[in-house]
Amino acid sequence: MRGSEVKAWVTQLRKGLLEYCLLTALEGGEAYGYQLIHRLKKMEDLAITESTAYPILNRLREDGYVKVRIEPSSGGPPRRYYSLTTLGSFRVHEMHRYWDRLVGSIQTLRDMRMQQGDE
Amino acid sequence: MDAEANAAIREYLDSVSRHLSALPEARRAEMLRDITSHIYDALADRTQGREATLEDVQFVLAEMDPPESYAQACPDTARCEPIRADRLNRGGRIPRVLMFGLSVLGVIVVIQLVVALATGNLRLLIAAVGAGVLLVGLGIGNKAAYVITIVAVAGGFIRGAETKGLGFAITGLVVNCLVLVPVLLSTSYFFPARNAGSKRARPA
Repeated sequence: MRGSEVKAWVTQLRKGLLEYCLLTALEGGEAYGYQLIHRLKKMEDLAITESTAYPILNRLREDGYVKVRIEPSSGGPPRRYYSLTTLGSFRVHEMHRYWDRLVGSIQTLRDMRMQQGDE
Repeated sequence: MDAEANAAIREYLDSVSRHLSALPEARRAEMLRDITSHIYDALADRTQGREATLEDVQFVLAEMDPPESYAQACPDTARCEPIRADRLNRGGRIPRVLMFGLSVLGVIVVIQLVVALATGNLRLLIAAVGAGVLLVGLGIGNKAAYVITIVAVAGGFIRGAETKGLGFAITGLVVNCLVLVPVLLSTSYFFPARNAGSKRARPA
């Protein structure tokens, strides 16, 4: 696979994982948008930015997986705190279970390949 | 914050708003509220209590995604539409006129329900609740709802043929199919969306 193809694959993979990353980040407790994105931006491999995170957060809110609490702020517009709903907690729990199974399956596949190589 | 700094923020937000024009109004407003809060939080983080200057605003905005990236973030209209419509019409392939037909069926069920409650007709009430549940089930793509509908249509055909003749039963079947086909088309269970990256695995 050429470098550009790997890059395209990584981009697609990240897109699919954004929702999972945001829900997982909210598992630790509520956070306002800037705080949440600032936290995720530190993990460069995830490549989460405002223009990718806010559309997903909005969709998750419409879907009932996250809720928004608005708190007045002294220096600017009200702060919007995001947190998981009960439905969101169930969803992220299911996602964790699937993720663990997926990682396990891929590891098994890699182990099988290594065993074939030894033979 | 001085007027120039405020104007720079307003200009950025206006530009983002233009790039979000494909979104429904309520959703665009919600996004803009998020982005506005983000800018002010980033400024507060940078200035640590002192008054923000134009340079601070320019620095913060330069760190953020350019306004045009918001259009790229939501290129798929189906994802941008309200989730309720998306669920009832996965893939967005069902014509509006058929969706209207389904809505009319829903209204008929509600009228049945009201009449049943007003007249105390228990059989009509059960039929109305059953039809309502079935419509919702079909709308959200519930497998059991498909099976019940197909069995009911087939059962109606056989019973119609036995009691009132084959011609009546065929007419009934055609009418039922006219209702059933658009309902089935309204979900991706039988007809996966054309724009899906890969064929969805169908449950066994």
